[in-house]
Amino acid sequence: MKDLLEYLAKSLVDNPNDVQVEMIEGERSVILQLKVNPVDIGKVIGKGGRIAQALRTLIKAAATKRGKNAIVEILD
Amino acid sequence: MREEKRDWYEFTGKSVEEALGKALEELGVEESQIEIEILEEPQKGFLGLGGKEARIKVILLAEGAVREKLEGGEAAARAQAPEETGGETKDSSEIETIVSRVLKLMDIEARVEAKEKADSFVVDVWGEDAALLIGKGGNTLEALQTLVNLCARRKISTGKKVIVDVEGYRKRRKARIEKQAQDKAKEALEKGKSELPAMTAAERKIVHVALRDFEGVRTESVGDEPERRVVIYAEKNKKTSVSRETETENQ
Repeated sequence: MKDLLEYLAKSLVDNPNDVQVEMIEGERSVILQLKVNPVDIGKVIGKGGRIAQALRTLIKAAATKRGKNAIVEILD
Repeated sequence: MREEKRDWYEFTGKSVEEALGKALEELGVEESQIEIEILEEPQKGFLGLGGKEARIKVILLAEGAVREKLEGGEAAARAQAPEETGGETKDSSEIETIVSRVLKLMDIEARVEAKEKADSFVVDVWGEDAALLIGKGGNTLEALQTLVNLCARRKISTGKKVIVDVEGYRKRRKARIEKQAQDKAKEALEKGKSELPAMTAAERKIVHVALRDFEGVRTESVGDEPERRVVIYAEKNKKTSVSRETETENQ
């Protein structure tokens, strides 16, 4: 899940080297914290949160496959 | 597109090998074409916290060839004119790589085939986890398509939309929406108005197109995303509808 979010985020932003993902894994849930360069924040959130929503949906599907619930936080 | 041309990239991974693997896959190069510099060795964290990934710097040696693939490849791809039915092009294989990569990272085993058509790229996915990948009401598939479109936009610049389909879901859904539209249009004729459930823009378009030639109704999208939906109105000639109402009142 971490690799997935990292790959997607890096593909979306102008500064892929500034993408950081921290994963906090619990027994049943996973929290993924995404940090990007401040100039790229719009690139991972999108108009009306459209991109952030898509990222969350896809990560949640990946987590479901592992029997977990995933929460994606975008830090600014 | 990338803002500046450069011939080195940074990659991370749980191990140096993994980072290298990513680099080779993403850049589409052989190990012999690059030079690797290890920026950081991986460090184990405690309980998955505080660990550090391996970071490597990959320098491209075969400048021309690789840069062309990343930045200049579109022109060459466009030169091979895609057939009407859609064919494999350099751009379509680039998109195939993106989708395969995403699915692999989701631990989903699937067969991916991308084709370039005159106005779009169509990616077909077949695999065991189709239901998971489609999601409730096609939610996950929509998310995948949104993200693949955004990722693809950076690698290719034809501006064509990428349509991702899983096990023919979109085709089946299209048929179902068309049927639903017909039923609702009949309902509108009886009741004066009917409403379809919330749909994506592409799905609403299917409804509008399906009912374009349906006598006596007009369609309109109302509401805000993601609750935007098509409303069907019975389109009576205003005069007749008024006179009919008057008639009813007079009775």
